[in-house]
Amino acid sequence: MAISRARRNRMAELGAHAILLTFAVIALFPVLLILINSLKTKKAIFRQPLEFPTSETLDLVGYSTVLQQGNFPLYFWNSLFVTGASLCLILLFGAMAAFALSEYKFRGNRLMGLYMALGIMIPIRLGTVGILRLMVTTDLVNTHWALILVYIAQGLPLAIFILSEFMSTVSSDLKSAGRIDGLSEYSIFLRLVLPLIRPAMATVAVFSMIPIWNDLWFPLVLAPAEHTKTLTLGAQVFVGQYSNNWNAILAAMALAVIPVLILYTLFSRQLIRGLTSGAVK
Amino acid sequence: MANLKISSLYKSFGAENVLDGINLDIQSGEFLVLLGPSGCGKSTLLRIMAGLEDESAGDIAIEGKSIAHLPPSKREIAMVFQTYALYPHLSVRGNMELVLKQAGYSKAEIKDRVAESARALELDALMDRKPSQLSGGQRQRVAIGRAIVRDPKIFLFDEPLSNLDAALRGQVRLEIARLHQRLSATMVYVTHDQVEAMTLADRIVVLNDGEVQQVGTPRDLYERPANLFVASFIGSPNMNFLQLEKLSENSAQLKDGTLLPISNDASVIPANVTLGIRPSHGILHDEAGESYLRAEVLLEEYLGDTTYVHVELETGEQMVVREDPEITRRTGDLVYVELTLSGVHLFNADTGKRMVVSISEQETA
Ligand SMILES: Nc1ncnc2c1ncn2[C@@H]1O[C@H](COP(=O)(O)OP(=O)(O)OP(=O)(O)O)[C@@H](O)[C@H]1O
Ligand SMILES: [Mg+2]
Repeated sequence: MAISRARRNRMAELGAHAILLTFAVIALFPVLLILINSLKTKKAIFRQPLEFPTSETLDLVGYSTVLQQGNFPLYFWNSLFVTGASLCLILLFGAMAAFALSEYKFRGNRLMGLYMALGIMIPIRLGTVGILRLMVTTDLVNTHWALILVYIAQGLPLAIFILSEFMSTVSSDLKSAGRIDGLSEYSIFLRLVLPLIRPAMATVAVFSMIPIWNDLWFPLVLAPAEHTKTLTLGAQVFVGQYSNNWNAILAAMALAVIPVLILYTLFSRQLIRGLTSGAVK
Repeated sequence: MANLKISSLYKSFGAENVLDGINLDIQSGEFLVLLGPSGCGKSTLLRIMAGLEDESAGDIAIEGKSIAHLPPSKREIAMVFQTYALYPHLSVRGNMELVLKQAGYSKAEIKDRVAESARALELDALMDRKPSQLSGGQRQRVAIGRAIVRDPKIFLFDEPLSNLDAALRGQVRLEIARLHQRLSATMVYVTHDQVEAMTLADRIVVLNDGEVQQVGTPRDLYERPANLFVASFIGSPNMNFLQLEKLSENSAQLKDGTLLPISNDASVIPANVTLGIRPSHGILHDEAGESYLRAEVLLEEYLGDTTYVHVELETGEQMVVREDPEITRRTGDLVYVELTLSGVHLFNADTGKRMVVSISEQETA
C-alpha cells in the first residue's frame, strides 16, 4: 500500500517534470538558437541554422565586430545604468507609496490608489510626444535621466499595485509593537515591513526590469546620442536597410542576455529565500 | 506602578460608534480585565490607551497627567499582542534590546536589564534564537519579556493567550499572574474568555457595544450582575432566565402560577420582569413540593465531577440545572425543580437593570 502510493507519487512527479521540461525547452529554444548561431559563419547561419558550430563553421566574427565597432562597452554601461537606476527608484518609491496607501488612512486614499493603478492600463508610449516636449524644455534630451524618469513612471503603477497588496498582509500588531518601542515611521517601513515583503519586491523587480532593458522606443526618441545609446539601440547599427549583419546582431543579442540573466538569478533566489515565516502566530 | 484614568472617552470609525463614553479609574498596581464579546471595542480601547489609535473625544491620564497627546513610545506603557508581534529578523535578545536602544540607554544598562528579564522569564537558553525557531508559548514569553525590560508604568495585554493551546494557556496564565504579583505593576488585560478574566482579575470591566456594563470584582459580577447582559455573559453554563407572570411587593409569580416568596426594592413595580437563576441554584426532586416547578428532562450532560440537566418547564421555557453526577436522568423523566431563593435574581426586562431581591419574611402560600 505504502509502496504503491510512493510509486504513484513518483509517477506524478515525473509527469510534472515532463511538462515543466517541455515548457523550458520551448522557452529556451530561441535563446539557444541565438547563442549557437552567434558563433557561426554567415553562410552556416542560413544553411544549417539548427546545427551546432563545427570546426568548419565556427566563427567569432560577430563578437569581434560588436566589440570593435562602435562603443559597445559604453552602450552596455548605459543600459546597465539606466536599468539599474530605474529599478532601484521604482522599488524605493513604489514601496513608499504602497506603504502610505496601505498603512495610513487619509482622505482620498482609495482614489489615489485607483489613480496609481490606472497607469497599468494606459501604455506610457501614448504620451511620447508630450514626454519628448517635456524633456526638450527641461533640457534632459540625450541624458540618462530622461530615460530613467520615464521608466520610473512606467514601472511605478504595477509596483505600487503589487506592493500595496503585500503591505496590507504585514501584521498590524508588528507595526504597533514598533511604534510602542519607539521606532519612527521610516524605521518601521525600512526595518520591519521591507524585509517581510522581500519576495514581492523581487517579483516587482523582475517584472519591471525586462521591459526596461529591452526597450527600444524611448532610447530612440529621447536619448539617441552616441554617449547615451543603450544596447538595444546600439545593436540597430547592424540592421541595414538592404542587408543585415546577422553575425553582429546575434552576437549583440547574446551579450545582451547576460546581465538580465545575472539579475534574474539574483532576484529569483530572493524570491524563494525572502519568506521570513514564524514572526507572527 | 501608576494609576490610569479614562474620562468620557468616545471613538467612532466613520458613522459607527465603537466606544460610547467610557469612564474608568484604574488603581495603581491593579490587574484590570476588560471582558466582552467579540467586536465590543476592547482592543480599540486598549489601542487608544497605547496611543496607537486616536480617540474621537475624551481624555486619558496617568497619575493625573494627560497622555492623550503623547505618541505611543512616550507614554511609558508596554503592550503584549495576541499575535506576539516579535520582530522576525531579530534574535530574542535583539527583540528585547530594541526598545532600550531606541530610548538611548547605555550598553551596560541594556545588558543588565535584558539579562534580568531573561532570567525572570527563563529565556536564558533562547536568547540567540530567532522567533521562527521558538514554540508558541516561548514566543509569548519573549513578548512578555520585551514588555518588562522597559519597566513601564502600565502593561497592556490584548488577548495574549488566545493563540495558545489549552494546556499552555493555563501555564502562561499562571506566569502572568505571578508576574503581576512580583512586579505589582498596573496591568490592563483584554480577553473574551471569562475563565481568564475571573482567575486573573482584581476587577473586571464588562463591555458591550462600546459601553461599560459593570465594573467590579469577579465575585461582584457573578453574585450581583448589574444587568441582564452581565448576568448572561458571566458564568458557564449561562444563567437561566424565566419570565415572571406577576411581581408584587413580597412575592413573585412565575408563568405556570408558582409563587416564590421574595420581595424587591422597586418603588414602582415594572410591567415586565425576568427572573434569573444559575444552574447551581436549582435542585431537582422526584416528588412535587411547594413552589417546585414541574419539568421534563430533555438532555443530560455528564462532565465527570458534575452533571448538567437540561429540562423543559410546563411553560415551554428551558432551564439547565446542575446535579450530582451520581444521579442519572433519562430524557422524558418527570422532575420537579426547586429554585434556591438566595440564588434568585430579578431584572427589569425592559431596561435590563438588576432589582435588589430579598426573601420575604412572611411566606405567601
Ligand atoms: N480601523 C478600523 N476601522 C473601522 N472599524 C474598526 C476599526 N477597528 C475596529 N473597528 C470596528 O470597531 C469595533 C470594535 O473592534 P475591536 O477590535 O475593538 O473589537 P474587540 O472587542 O477587540 O473584538 P475581538 O474580541 O474580536 O478582538 C468592531 O465592530 C470593528 O469592526
Ligand atoms: Mg480584539
